[in-house]
Amino acid sequence: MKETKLSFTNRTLPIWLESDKASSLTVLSSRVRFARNLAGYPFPTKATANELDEILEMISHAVKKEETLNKFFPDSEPIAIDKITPLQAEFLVERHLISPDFLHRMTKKKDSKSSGSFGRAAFINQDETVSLMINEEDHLRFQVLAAGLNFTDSFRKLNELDDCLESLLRYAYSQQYGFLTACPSNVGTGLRASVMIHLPGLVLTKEIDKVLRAIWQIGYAVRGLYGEGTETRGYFFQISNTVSLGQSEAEIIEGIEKVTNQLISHEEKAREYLSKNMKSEIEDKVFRAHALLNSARLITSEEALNLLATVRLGVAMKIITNITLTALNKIMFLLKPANLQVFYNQEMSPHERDEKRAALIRQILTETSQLPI
Amino acid sequence: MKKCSLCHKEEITIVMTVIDKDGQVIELSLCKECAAKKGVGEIKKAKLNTEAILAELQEKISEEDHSLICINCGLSFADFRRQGRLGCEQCYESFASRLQPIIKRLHNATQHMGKGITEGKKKMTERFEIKKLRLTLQNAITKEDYEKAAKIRDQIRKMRTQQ
Repeated sequence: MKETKLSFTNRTLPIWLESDKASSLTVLSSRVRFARNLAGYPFPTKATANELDEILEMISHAVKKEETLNKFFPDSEPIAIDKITPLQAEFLVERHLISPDFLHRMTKKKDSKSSGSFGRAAFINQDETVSLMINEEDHLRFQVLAAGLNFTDSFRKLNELDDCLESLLRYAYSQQYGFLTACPSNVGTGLRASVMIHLPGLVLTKEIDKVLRAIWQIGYAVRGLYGEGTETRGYFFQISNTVSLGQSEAEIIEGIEKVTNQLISHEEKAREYLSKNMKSEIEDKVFRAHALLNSARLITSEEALNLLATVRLGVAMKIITNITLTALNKIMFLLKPANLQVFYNQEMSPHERDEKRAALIRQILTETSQLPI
Repeated sequence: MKKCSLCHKEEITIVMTVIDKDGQVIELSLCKECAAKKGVGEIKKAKLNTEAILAELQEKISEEDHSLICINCGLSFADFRRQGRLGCEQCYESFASRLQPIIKRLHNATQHMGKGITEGKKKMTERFEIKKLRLTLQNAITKEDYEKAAKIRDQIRKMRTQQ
């Protein structure tokens, strides 16, 4: 067993997963992030090891300023990515607190052993709603996460953090292109707003292609769960803005809110259709998924995720009434490979994980369950 | 010329490897229409606009792209086209005329309309600059580059007296 000196094992599930908002019936989470760079330094891909260290030092200094730290990162220490185990790093990726790209950059740098310190670190607050990466693709990437559809509060917080940092750092900025970023697709506001949305109704009524294509055509990106590619798992989709220049931050937020609300209403209609016209088919699907989760002795994260997605539909459609969305949100995080190992505080082979995962799911489902049938 | 595996008529637009009913791996060539009927084209269509534009950059990199270099960081425009990432803030000016059409396609705009950076923070900026210089000074000393160190020290002094 590897040492876990960070408080990873004490990390409970993030509170932000607890949501009783109506939008949570469809929207799993909302996320906003800013990309920023310091003036006078090359972007991370072009910076030398020394420059990366300097950038890290300067940004850390700004984040550690009392007013910033107290307000946004109380009780948090920066996590130097090279100082944690690969398992812990993977854990942070699974919780969407650092990007796979950030982790990849670390391992690449490690192999080339170009520098003692790797010039990269992350700050993550206790409830895991605010996280900040130093020297990812840009010098600074920071995000605010919230459960359900909630951009207003998240964006306010993100903007406040930006103001705090801006008073201490000098950003690369031009009158024409706004905040300058390594990739021109982020230039301008440097703002990316996204939602993780559950659209089983639209998938099952085969309306999904039509709806997503319409969204794609008006300038929003659609991805499957876990970000990459267009392959979707468990009916989860991530919708985000692609345009960051030529609109104000408020307009970008309004735009994604509007699109999300439209999606919610399409999805609600699809669910209504399903409960009117395909009632027994849907009930059959939901109860079978629930039964499998309650009986499996070995289960992969992919199978579990797909079954849980179906159960989630059942809960949202009130076919299953004794499981909360919060419980489902939590299981969805816990079943991921690194999260599972951190939860049990032991490294496991894939086979052991499948066994533990199955047991954990059964335990959580039966604890909240007094099944009527 | 290969014909469409389904209608045997038109030119093929997509070749894909699939597993047929009997579990055999076969190569399927489809024309545009049949691909659309099979729903194959949709995946391609659904490719993100941003990603498509960035992927396009990698095609047909010319000699000229290699000789266009950012004076600040040394990145060539060819490098940018390959990686889709710029090297520094100065690249936006070094490659201005080439970048503008790309940015226009990505955002359908060429003018920032969002928040700005706060004015009247000159002092803060200077303090920041001094801090930055101090770090560079330290680095120069560790590397025993005393000539560079002396220059930076003078620069810091000058900035301090101006404050």
